[in-house]
Amino acid sequence: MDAKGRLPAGVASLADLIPIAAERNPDGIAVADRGTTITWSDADARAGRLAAALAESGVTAGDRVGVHHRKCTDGFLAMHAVVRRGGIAVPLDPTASGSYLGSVVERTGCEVLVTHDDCRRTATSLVDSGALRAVVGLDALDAPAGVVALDPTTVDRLDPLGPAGTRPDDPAYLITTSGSTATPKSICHTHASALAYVGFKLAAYDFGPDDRISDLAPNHFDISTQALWVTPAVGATNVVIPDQHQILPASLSQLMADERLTVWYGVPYLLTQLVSRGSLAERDLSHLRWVLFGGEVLAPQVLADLMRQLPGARFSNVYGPAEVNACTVHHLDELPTGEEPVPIGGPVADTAVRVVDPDLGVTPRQGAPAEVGPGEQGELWVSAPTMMQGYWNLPELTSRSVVDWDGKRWYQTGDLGYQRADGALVFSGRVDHQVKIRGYRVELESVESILEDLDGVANAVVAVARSTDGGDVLIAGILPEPGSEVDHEALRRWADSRLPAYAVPTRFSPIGSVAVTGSGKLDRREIRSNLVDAHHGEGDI
Amino acid sequence: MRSELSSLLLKFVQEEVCIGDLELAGDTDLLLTGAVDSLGVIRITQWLQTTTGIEVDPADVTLENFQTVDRMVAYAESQGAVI
Repeated sequence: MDAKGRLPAGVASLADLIPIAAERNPDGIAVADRGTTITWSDADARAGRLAAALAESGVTAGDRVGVHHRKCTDGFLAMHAVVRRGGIAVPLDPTASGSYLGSVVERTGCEVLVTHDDCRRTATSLVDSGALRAVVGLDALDAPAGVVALDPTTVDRLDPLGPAGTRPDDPAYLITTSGSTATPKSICHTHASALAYVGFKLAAYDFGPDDRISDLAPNHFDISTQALWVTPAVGATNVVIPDQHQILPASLSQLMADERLTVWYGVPYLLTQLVSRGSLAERDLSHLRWVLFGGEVLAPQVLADLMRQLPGARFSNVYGPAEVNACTVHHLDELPTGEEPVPIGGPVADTAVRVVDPDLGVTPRQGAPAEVGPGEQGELWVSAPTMMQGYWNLPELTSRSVVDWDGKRWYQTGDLGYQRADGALVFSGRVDHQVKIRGYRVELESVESILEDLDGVANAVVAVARSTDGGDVLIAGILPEPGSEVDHEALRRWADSRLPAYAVPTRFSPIGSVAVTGSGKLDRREIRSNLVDAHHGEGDI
Repeated sequence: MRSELSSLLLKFVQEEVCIGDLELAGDTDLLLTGAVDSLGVIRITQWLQTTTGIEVDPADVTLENFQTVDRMVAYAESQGAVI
């Protein structure tokens, strides 16, 4: 089927989504955020004024613009304003340190930042670093000479701008994720790949204008693309789930009830919190009709618990690395039983997935790729119009990750999987040491190499452990250089300045006895398992 | 004047829970500033239970009761906390 079949007529780029929603449903509620709402007509005008502010800041087509917000109406509008102006949005992690964000801004070449007073601390540190020539959205900023600062009141007085007329293959936004080296990489999606994702979601789910859809994932995390692009495409309402509610499950479930949420989409971590501490039995969540989850594995027992507590909702597992947005879905029509993993399901719309002989350890791959048979484990390869254009400014990495085969471009996900007897695909691990922390990808060796860059650290070994709240955290074992001592608090600050918050280990401990493999290398597997045992043995962190 | 519970809790949150180098006051928004994450909330809850003898119902762990140290103290006192 045509993945764009159900996009509203006239949508040629992401910039058209809000104007067309405003034309079709001007008085419909676009965003509900902590007791205030705006209509699609308001959203159109406000995104237009923000686009005008970007024009005043000198942003032209193809310029990268940092978008730095906690979950709020302004963050949603800022993403739309950047694409409306023809710029490339670079959503920034609002919880990361100023120095980590500085490295993202520098690598992607952002010279203009749209932000909010909630992020003032890190935003001003970016201004002070001298990397920016304009900042939009901060009140009364004492900007250094040569930096244009536009506060919200000034922005409100500008005349709204319409879409700049972008082409489908123009880049629209960059999603920054960890890589196997110390330097993160940014996934570049175009207007076409993002709109194909909207088409994918509309083919898989019956979303409509009456839906009230959760907007909870931060904009730098790809789950946010549903609230950003799919909600305006159907003229539904985004319900902002503020950062604080995501820390307090009882407040989160209250908000879901008060806002009569109909569609939830988030990482399993939050669902686990809702089941264990969300007082679900005391909340009226009868409006909830879809619970979508993705980004990491959801334990079947937790899912079964949730399905029992929310009998009116239909549950669906969404699979897809950020490079391909989304590629398979699996709707749960029966309670999962036992320990069998929840399938990732099958492809939707014009997505193709193949299970390929992983040919581990051979680089470059010898000969043509080959599919494995049903039931056999292989690497998942994806070919889809939702695929990224490539990694920003990293053509070699792009050509290693995306290969031609059978006349199509295939993204090699690095995920392992197999096909069940009923045809559904099941995720079964990774070809490398990538792990997920609350849905965020982390390559263990990149964290280790950053820790090892600090003077006095001979070796660092990083492992995943279960924390008291049922989520996963990183823990690090440290082996100092002979004669050196490593201050673990200094090491934490070092990591915090170089990594996003979710990749900073929550605990550092010395590596007791050093395990060495037969070939004389540090036995990281053995050390990881000892670290995790020691952590769990103490019962708390 | 600060109650004893208030001083002790502020000290615990500042020294044992707070993420980053923020200087906390009784009315600092612990959640919006990122000083306390979900694990931190659980540790504070455990601390309140052990230190004051109250039982914290998960349904009470809300924004109203846990946004700041002052609100946590007010909540704990409303539940009969004694030190």
